[in-house]
Amino acid sequence: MTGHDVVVVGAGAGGAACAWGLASAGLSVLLLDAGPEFSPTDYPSHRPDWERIESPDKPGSRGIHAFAPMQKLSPAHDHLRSWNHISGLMVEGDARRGVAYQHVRGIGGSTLHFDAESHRLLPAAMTMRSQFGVGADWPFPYAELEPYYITAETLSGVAGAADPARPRSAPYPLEPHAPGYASRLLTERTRHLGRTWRPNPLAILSRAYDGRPGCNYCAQCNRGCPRRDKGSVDVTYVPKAIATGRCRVLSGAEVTGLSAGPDNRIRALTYRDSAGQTHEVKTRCVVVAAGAIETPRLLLLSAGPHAAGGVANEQGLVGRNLLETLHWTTCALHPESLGTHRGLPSDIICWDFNAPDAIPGVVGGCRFAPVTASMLLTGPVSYATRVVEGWGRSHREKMQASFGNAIAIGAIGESLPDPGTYVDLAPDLTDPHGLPAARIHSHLDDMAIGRIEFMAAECRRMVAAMGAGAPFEEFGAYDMFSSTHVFGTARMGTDPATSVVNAHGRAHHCKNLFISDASVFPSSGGGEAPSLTIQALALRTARAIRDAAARREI
Amino acid sequence: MALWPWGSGGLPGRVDLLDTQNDPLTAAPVTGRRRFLGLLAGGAAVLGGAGLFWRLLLPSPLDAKELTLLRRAVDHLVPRGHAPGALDLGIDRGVAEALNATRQFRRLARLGLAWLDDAAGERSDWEHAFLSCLAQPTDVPPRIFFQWLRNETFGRYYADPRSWAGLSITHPPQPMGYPDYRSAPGAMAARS
Ligand SMILES: Cc1cc2nc3c(=O)[nH]c(=O)nc-3n(C[C@H](O)[C@H](O)[C@H](O)COP(=O)(O)OP(=O)(O)OC[C@H]3O[C@@H](n4cnc5c(N)ncnc54)[C@H](O)[C@@H]3O)c2cc1C
Ligand code: SF4
Repeated sequence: MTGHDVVVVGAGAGGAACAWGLASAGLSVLLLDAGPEFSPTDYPSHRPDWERIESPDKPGSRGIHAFAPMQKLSPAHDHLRSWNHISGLMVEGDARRGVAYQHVRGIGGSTLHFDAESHRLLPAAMTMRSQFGVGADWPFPYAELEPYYITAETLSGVAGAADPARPRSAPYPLEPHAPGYASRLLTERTRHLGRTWRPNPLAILSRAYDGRPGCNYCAQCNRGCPRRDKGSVDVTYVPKAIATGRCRVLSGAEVTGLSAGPDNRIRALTYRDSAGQTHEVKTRCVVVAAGAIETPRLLLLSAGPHAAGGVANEQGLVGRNLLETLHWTTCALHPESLGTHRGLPSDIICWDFNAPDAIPGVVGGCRFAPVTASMLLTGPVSYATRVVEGWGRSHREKMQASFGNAIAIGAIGESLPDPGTYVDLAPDLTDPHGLPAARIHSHLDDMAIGRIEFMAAECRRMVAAMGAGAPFEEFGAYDMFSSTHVFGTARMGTDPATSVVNAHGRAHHCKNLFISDASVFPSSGGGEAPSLTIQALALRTARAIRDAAARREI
Repeated sequence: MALWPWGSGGLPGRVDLLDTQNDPLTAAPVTGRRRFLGLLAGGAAVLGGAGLFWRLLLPSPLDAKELTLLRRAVDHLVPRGHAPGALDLGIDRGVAEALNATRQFRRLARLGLAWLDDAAGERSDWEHAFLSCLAQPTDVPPRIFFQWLRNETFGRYYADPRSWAGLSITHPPQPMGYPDYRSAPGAMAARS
């Protein structure tokens, strides 16, 4: 197959935004994704048994990955173990455990699953090396990304309120959502602790916009939005890219290798379609946007005569510098009737400790939000199995008294590079085509554990201040790797000795290869959700490709 | 934001052995699988000796006695009250089907039911049986079975809207959503 200016691998946050940027700039694009297409009618939230249905989920919508053995847990940190009052410890034994790289394969990628938090990075979080001597600096300042943030917010339909810590050149396209009942109580009851809350910027429509209806506050964003008001990229960038007439989208097309020629250029790529047929696509330019676990895997799988050790891996950096989701959540039952099964997943946010130096004794910040819906505590099945103990008549009575009263406060913090945290190819696990799966290594250093410690203490304090009872469940990154936000495995920078791609996402040594997903992040931010930044970067990369094409470099 | 990692409606438990989506044996890593088989054998030896151990290895579906025990256990978990009980909604049949679906689940059920029956004693004291089971370590088969049974029974029962009487939920989240999310629960209904 030939005839496209650019082939984009992966139709998630980064790939879809880049494909739109390229197609709307006049380039022809082939957008390939390993997973299936989803439609709003695929999601189960109109069914009474919705809680028992895995969603978004279809054949081919989950990749496989392996975990390397992880570090020993210390009894000194037993208070940071994940547990539930009914079932006990979630991870038994004395070693940290790899549980999940949470993702969706499909047109829309992991945004099909996301809560649509749409954060700009705090400018100070982009200079961790020069300010604090840790991690890496971004190769350009916040101001450079700002216009792309505006475009991404406009295309996704972000509802938010101005935040002085994150300067902006235009208002949000949509006014913020009003906070829900429980979030208003949280704001009032944590004021004496000094906590300040603001509307969380969300790619969820607070009114009809761009042909999509406003949200009706069903609290099921993680299961896929049947109304299309959640700005997952399958309802924003992808249809707009197709509408240009210059973007062809293929689902069920898993790219299995890139072949590099002697001139440091990618000549072709191969993909398998859902019927198992292999196809070769000759190309002038490739954008890899398979997510921060699968992008390094694909580059490593593409080792060949002209790419020993993998494509773009001259320095052995592909897969290194993996940044994971450092998180903590405390859940408790409140004696008052709160109706927390309603509303938006995280309608308000607390940035009080977001700055890199905000947590005493630790470098790297964090943020807090109510996450009852993200913890799937929105229906009677989860209450019956996770919240209410026992059985029989007393269980029933407690169900009646407690349904809708669960609250969960969650935190996510900065993840800094660690030599023990990276992605490589699994020696003993292959995908259905016989290709090695990605293997995730993860190690938490003392500073990371210190950050979790702080997040746990604050979450517990806030839950108590709310007036809730003792926690019934807590869950965090100390004893398990369960990451929704992953970054850094093909880091961008100006120095080819310490980065894989340049400031525009272009591989240092492979002139027609670009990377446009969370892999390129030099640092994670202090808990900011990544998708908006991934999209802004992708739009900037698309601009760079357009310019390179105009200069006939590709 | 971080999401509950055990999938829809799942209860955390033994990550390796208690996995309601998968077969508890094939889902376990090799060492866990061996340990699980060892535990099954040990449990059988304590309860019924070699006879039960060999029956555990048989692929046959649960027999009439085992199905009766299962009904009793399900009934004790969700008895009839103001709302219909689990048996009224046929939950036991769904649970039995799920248990009969794989050989490994049948083994687990066979051992778990025998253990619970033994603990319930001649007085059929299921309350005592459940409490004794909860006193077991979390990784022994009867406890794993009980946790699974509790999960599956409640999961099926509360996925049926006939069980929602008296809870502050009257409809699935869509298509109506919760436009009243800013008010105290029931406040909108009370006003109108
Ligand atoms: C439950 C959950 C909640 C989240 N909530 C938020 C939130 O509120 N806000 C936020 O900003 N972020 C959130 N995230 C994270 C966010 O979804 C991801 O960070 C983001 O989607 C990553 O974008 P990406 O382009 O790097 O990868 P992805 O979006 O994962 O896209 C990668 C795509 O590449 C495809 N692919 C992989 N390998 C191949 C191959 N070999 N060939 C072809 N295609 C391939 C995959 O099928 C996939 O579609 C959440 C994530 C989860 C799981
Ligand atoms: S809360 Fe709103 S955005 Fe989320 S799934 Fe429901 S309707 Fe869609």
